[in-house]
Amino acid sequence: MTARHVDARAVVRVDARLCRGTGLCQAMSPALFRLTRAGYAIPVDGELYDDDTVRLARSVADCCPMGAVEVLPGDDADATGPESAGT
Amino acid sequence: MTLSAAPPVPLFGSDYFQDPYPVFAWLRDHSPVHAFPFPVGGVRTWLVTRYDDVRAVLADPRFSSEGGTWGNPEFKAAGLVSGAGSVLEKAVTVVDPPAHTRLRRLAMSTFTPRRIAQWRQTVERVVSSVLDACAARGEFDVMDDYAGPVSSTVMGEILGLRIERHRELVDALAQAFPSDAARMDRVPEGFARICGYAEELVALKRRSPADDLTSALIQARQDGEQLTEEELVAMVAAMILAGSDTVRAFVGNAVLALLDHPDQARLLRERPELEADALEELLRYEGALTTALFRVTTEELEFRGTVLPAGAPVIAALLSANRDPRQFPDPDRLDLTRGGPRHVGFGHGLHNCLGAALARLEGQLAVPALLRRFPALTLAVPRGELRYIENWAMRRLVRLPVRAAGEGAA
Repeated sequence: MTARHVDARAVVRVDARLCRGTGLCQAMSPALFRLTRAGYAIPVDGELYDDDTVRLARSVADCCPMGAVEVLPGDDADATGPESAGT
Repeated sequence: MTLSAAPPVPLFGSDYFQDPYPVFAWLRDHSPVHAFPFPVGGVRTWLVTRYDDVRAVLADPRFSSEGGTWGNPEFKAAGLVSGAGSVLEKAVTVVDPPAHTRLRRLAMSTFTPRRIAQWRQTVERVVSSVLDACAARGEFDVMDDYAGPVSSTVMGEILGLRIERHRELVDALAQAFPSDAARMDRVPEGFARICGYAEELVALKRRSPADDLTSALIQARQDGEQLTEEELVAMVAAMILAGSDTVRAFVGNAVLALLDHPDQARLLRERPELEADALEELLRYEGALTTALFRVTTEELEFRGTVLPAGAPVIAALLSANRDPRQFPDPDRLDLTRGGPRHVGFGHGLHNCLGAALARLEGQLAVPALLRRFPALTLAVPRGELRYIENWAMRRLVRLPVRAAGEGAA
């Protein structure tokens, strides 16, 4: 796992409990999302650095039929994310 | 793969429509990217049948849903562009990004958790009242007396259609998706009637907004954008067209699958906690759509060793992908505890089912409720008499007559 960059504008996550592997996110942006072998979505990187990418990620989150994609401001994600402990 | 290779029975012939699975098994093994003349206009079309390939086609932007933009002249001349010449040409089902993203975001913004919770109550109430009517009959047709009324009433109520319109909607849907191939000539009239209801509904809800999906779509805003009048009508019409007969078809297929597998029906009755997994397996085993809507190539490309010219129509066989043994061990067995990799019953990629949340809600409530209400449910006709409609995209039983009290009942 790479260290979280302090300048990340936002962080994109896929909630594994909600994802049904519809492939919509990957089809909308293969740069941001990929599907695992089992067919479920995960972010390629997760950290978003520019406004266009953040906008794109928000569009994907709005379109996801399962509501499984979330985009959090960089600061919030650091404070509340399950991976934030110790980083 | 040779050009003379042909499946055991002809594609889109009567035998195929009654049982497409042997054809799919042959195609997956011998001709996974299969060229054939589409029955309408003899247009050269490619059928993709393997799970991996179906997902690859549906995830690849070079396989466009915009037949009107990218289809070759033969495809357009044969009238195969979905919704051509009507408001549906702009429907979310048949446009690509960026228009697609805009329409889909605006539509999805109306599917709020609160509204979905309301839908659950609507579906529960409708299911229970239709079950009462079925109980009173004793012997009934799952397609016309249960799945049909449940799916069209739920859609009508959710959109806010006036109750007097409900019966007409059932009629118009029967016209748009005929059970009898001889009535194909009335299909455009059915589609036109549904567009008419959608237009009327949008006008009504503009004048007097209420707590329903049509009003929510009218009010939907995303980044200062909203749906135009034409887009609204197309969206409401597409929801009726995509969300009624499909649910009816699926409920019929699911009930038949459970009648065919009494051990699995018992499992579902005894272990309600299995309902969510059971629904996914029933969607895999036999969903409502045989295939996704047409895709057309935006450029010449090579797919799994086959060169597809630009503008080529491609059909992704969803039922075949869901029975691919490369992906699902023992795929022809219904196993409600299967779990594992996901099915493509709702399609895949950009155009995967927009209304999946509602469809799942209806399936998850309507199918187990029927089994619980009538634990002794049996077929009222010999199994061999059941027939499927002769439609290339939809897998739906014509009738599914059942007896509520089981065998030996009067």
